[in-house]
Amino acid sequence: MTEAEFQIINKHGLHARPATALVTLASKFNSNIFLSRGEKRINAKSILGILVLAAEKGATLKVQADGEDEKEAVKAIVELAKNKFGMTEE
Amino acid sequence: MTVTNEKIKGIVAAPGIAIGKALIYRPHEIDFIPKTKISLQDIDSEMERLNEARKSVLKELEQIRERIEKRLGPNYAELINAQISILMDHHIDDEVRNYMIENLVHVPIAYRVVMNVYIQMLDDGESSFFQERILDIRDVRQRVLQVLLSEAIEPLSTQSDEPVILIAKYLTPGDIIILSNDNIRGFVSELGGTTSHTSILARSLKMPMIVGIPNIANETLSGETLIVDGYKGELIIHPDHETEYLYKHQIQRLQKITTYYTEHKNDRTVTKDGKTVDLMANISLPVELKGLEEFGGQGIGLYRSEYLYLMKHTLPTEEELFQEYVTMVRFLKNKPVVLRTIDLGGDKIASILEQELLHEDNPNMGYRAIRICLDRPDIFITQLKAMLRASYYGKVQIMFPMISRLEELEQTIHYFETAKNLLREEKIPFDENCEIGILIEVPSAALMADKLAEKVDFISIGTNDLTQYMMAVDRGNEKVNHIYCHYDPAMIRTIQWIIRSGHHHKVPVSVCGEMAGDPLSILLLVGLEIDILSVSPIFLGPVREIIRGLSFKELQDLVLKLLKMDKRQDVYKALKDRFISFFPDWKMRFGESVIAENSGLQEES
Repeated sequence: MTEAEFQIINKHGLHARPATALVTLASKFNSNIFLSRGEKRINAKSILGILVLAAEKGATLKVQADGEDEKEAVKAIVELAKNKFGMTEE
Repeated sequence: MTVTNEKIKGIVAAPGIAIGKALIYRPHEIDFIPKTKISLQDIDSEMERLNEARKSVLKELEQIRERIEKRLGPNYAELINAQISILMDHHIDDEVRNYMIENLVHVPIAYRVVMNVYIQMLDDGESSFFQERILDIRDVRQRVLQVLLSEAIEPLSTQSDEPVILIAKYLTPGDIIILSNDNIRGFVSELGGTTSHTSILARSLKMPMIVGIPNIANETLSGETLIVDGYKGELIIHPDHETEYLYKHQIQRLQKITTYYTEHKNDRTVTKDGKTVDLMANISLPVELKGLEEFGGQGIGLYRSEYLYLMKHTLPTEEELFQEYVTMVRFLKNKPVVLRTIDLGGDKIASILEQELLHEDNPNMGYRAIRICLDRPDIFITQLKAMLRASYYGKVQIMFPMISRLEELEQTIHYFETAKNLLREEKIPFDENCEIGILIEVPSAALMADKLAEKVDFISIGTNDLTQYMMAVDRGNEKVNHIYCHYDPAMIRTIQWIIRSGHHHKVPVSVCGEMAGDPLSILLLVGLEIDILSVSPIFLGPVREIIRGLSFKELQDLVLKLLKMDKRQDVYKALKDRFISFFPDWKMRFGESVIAENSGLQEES
C-alpha cells in the first residue's frame, strides 16, 4: 500500500467539477484507491463519496492506494491536487 | 362532471394568455414504495433493473441539458452536469447489492436507503458549503425511483404534443428551468408571489402564470381544458366553445401587436414635439436579456443582482459574480448597464443571511439592502470588486439602494474606493470613470435629494418602495393597500422635487419602479421631465409607442394643473382623460388587457 497526504488549495474546495476530475483520474488506475479525512474514508472513484468528504479549501486529505499501479496512482492524485484539479481560477 | 366555464381568481405572476390541458406536477417525495420481497436469485436482475433505470434517466437529463443550453445558456446547464455524474456513480452498487442481500427487499428500497445515507452524511456536515449538492442527490434519487416504480412515471417527459398548463403546489425557479418545454404554455400554483424569481423566469419565457389559488393542484383537474388569463388573473376551467374561441382570437391579436413592437424596436423614443426620453430595461435574470434583443431598449436601467444570492445556499464568489456581470456587459456592447448592489432583506431572504433576517418584526424597515452591505463589508466589497471588474468590458454604472442619509452615502463611497484600491493592488483593470448613483426610495433621501445629488452621477427613483414608505402602507396588507397609490399629490410633489434636484446638479434622473410601465404615470413622468424610464422587457414595446405618441409641451401644462390638485382621484381622472385623448384607439392599439393590467385604466370611474 502506498499513501500520501495533500491539501485542497482550490478556492471553492473539492466541489462538483474538481471532484469529477478526481474521479476520472482515479478510475484510470487498477488499484483500489481510498481518500480519507478524519474518520471518513471513501472510494476515490465515487463522486458521491468525494462530495460527502465536503473538503473545503485548506482541508488535508489522505490518499491510500493498493494494487499494481499504487505508486503511480498516489503520485498522479497528489499532482492533480497541486494543479487545482485542472480548474483555472481567475 | 365539471361545471362549464368555472372561473377562479388568482394573482397574476406573469402576464399572457394560454390554453391547454391541465397537468398536475408533484415534484416532491415518493412517500410510498411497496415493500416487495425478493430472493437471493433475484438480486442480479434487480441490479440490472437499476442500470436500465439509470440509462433512461441519463437520456432524460441529457435532453434537459440540451434544452436548457439552447434556451438559457451554458451556465444553467452546469446544474445538470453535476446530476449526471451523481447518477452514473457505480460505486454505490456494492452498497445497494449488500442491502438487498441482507434485507431481501427489491431495488427501489435499497437504492433509496443508500442514497439517503449520502444525503444524511452531507446534511450532518458542519460546512454549509456543500449543502446545495444535497438537492442534486435528492433530484437524481427521485428520477431513478420514478423510473423504477413504473406506476409513477414522470408525466412530463412522456406526454404527447398537446399543449399543457402545469399546475403545482409550489414552483421553484429550478422547476421552471427544468420543466419548461415546448408543450408547456402556462403555470398555475397554489403558493408564490408576483416578485419571486419563479414569476420573473415565467415572464421572461413568455409563459403566463397565476399564483395564489388554494387547493388547485388536485388530481380531479388532471386532463381538463384550462385557460390561463394572465391579465385578469383568472383560471377558467372547462371553457365553453364561445369562450375558447374568444380567447384564441385574443391570443392572435396579441401576437400581431407583439410582432409590431419587434419590428419597431429601433424607433427612437422621442415625443411628437422632439423631447427624448431614454427607454431601458429592468433585468433580474440573465435569461431576460432575450427580451432586450426582441424589443430594443437603450440599455439596462436596473439590474437586480439578488438572484445569485437567492438561488444558492452559499455566498457567490467574486469570480462567479464577475462572470455573470461580464456576460451581460458584453451582451450590451457599449450600452449602459446599471448594476444595483444587493437589495436583500424585506421580502427577499437569502438562506445565507436567514438567521439575521428571519426574526425581524418589521422587515421592510429593518436589516436590508445597503444596510446589510455597510454592516457586512466582506459581502459588499466582493460584489463591488466584481462589478468594477466588469466595468472594464463596457459601460457599467453602479447603483446603491435604500440610501436614507448622506453619511450612509459617504460610507458607501468609502467602500467603493476601497474596492478600487484593492483591484489596483491586484493589478486588475477596471473603468476608472465608472459612474455611481443612488436609488431613492426612502422619504428622507427624497427630501435631501438636492444634497445627495451633489455626490453622485445619476439618480433613480424606486417608486414602489417610495410610495409604500411615503404612505406608510404595506402593499401586501389587504386591509390598508387601497391607501397605496402613486397618483397621490404627495407623490407628484416628491417626484418633481427629486427630478429638479437632479437637474440642478446636471444629474440625470430615471424611474425604474412600476410607474415607468404604467401608461398614465408615463404622462405624468414625461411632463415632469424625467430623463429615463426603465421597465420590464415585456413593457418596452408599449412604453415606446406611448412616448412616441405624446406631446411634451402639452404634458408640461398638464403637470402644472396636476400640481394644484388636492386629491388623487382628480389627478387620476385628469391623467386618464388626457391618455384617452392622446390614444383614442388605445384598446385596439395596445391590447386592452395588456395595458389595463398595469394601470388604473381598468377601473371604471
